[in-house]
Amino acid sequence: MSGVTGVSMLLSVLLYLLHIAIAPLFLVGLVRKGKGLLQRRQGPSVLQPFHDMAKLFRKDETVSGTTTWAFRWAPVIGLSTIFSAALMAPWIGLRSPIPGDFLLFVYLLALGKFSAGIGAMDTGSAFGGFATSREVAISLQTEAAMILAFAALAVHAHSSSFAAMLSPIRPSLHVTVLALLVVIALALAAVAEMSRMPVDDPTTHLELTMVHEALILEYSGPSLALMEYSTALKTLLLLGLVGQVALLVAPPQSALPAYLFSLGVILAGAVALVIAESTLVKLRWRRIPNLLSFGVTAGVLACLLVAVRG
Amino acid sequence: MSQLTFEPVAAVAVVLGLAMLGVTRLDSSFWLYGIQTVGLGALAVWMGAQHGELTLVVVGSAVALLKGVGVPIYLARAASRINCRRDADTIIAPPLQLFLSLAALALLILVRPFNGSLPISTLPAIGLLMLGMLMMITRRLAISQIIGFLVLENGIFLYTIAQPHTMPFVVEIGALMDVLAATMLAGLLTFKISRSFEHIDVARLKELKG
Repeated sequence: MSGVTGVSMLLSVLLYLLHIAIAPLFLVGLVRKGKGLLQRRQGPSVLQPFHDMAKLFRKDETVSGTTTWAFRWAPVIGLSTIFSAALMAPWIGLRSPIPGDFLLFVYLLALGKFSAGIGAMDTGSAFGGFATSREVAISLQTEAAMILAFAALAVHAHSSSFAAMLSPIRPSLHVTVLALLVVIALALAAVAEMSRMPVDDPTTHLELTMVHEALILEYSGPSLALMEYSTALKTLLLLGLVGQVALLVAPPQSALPAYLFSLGVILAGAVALVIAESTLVKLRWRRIPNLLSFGVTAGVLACLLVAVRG
Repeated sequence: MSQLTFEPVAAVAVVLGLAMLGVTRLDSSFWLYGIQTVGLGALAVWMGAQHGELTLVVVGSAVALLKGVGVPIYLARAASRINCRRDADTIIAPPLQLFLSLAALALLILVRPFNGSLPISTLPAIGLLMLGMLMMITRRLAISQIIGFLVLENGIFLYTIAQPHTMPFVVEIGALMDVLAATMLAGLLTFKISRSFEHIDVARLKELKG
């Protein structure tokens, strides 16, 4: 490896680590501030999630006597899976530090969800049980949508690695339609994966409608901090990935525009979250499959398009 | 070059047809139908200009204006007059409808029935035709069935512009006028049904009323 690529690789690794460390909580702070502004109040400071996180880390942890290792390990497994996924997908427009594969990426997310579900059921509380059953029922469709959408890109690029799938290709109307379908599938899956409106309400507590909030109900202190941080990182990662697919339509010439565009898409995603959470009502539980089935449909259509036209 | 434009537009038309199958709010399906029809009309105008055929240009712009803009507005007014905003329930649940029609589309595209006698450019048209039929079968609201019929007719229109030789002008315009008249009549009929029965659920039309 020559000196220049070595330096740029090091820079890219440092940038990824920096974004993983700071951006998730900053994004959460921005969304909260935006919601405040839209409701004509001042809203909490953008740095409030950092203070919350520091507070949670200083607190003691309450662990039920009936729980086993599954409960204790779930936050750690959750964070480490998301962390590895974030190092392997090129979500800020630069080459990812670890060459990644889309199947591994999707199943790392699934592993995190599985460990969270096992941890929640381990407490034996009724909330943990129903939250797990709901989260798994939702992921039945989000996983299908994500895998189908990525598979269409992979077949199009003749490679299952993210670097090849999302590398610039000659733009055409055909690529635009493909990217549009993939963006629809990923965005709908992301809304459910991020536990955001209209699938799940991240602000309710102790309501029978909640999904993700019930899953993490029994956690406190540092474990809760890890859980919340994982969710924030997942939000950032998925928004960034949607941006990468959108970049296929008009591939940039160098790294800097790609990086700026990715940050722009993440910011636009934050604005969309703010607007969705201030204006939409949560879907009834029975209507959620209707919404998510559009994502699966878009994924299947993308695969069909690739199957016919390569 | 013409193939490169025709195929993505036809594909998007089928995607919009699928989206119409999935939504149950009438407003959304009017919007989707309007976008689809204006897109198909614009495609016809573009193809006509490309091949230097005046018939396609005239028919395409008439379709985009009358069917793409006029019909959704007319139907939206009819729906608001009888105060009807969404399909209560469909005979097959919308997600299942989507997946079933996807399976049918995949079979149509990958297996190529009829021994490949159908050229690949006509497959989106046949897909759209089937989607419209499915919509007419599974919806219970009279207005949604009209939309299903209109989607079916869009499939036929896409089939005619996918042909290498255009239809005679009289046939094209005649078909357009027929569809418009049928939509008007069906809209009026819906209004009458809702006035006599106080609902427009065709599954419940069992007794005679004067």
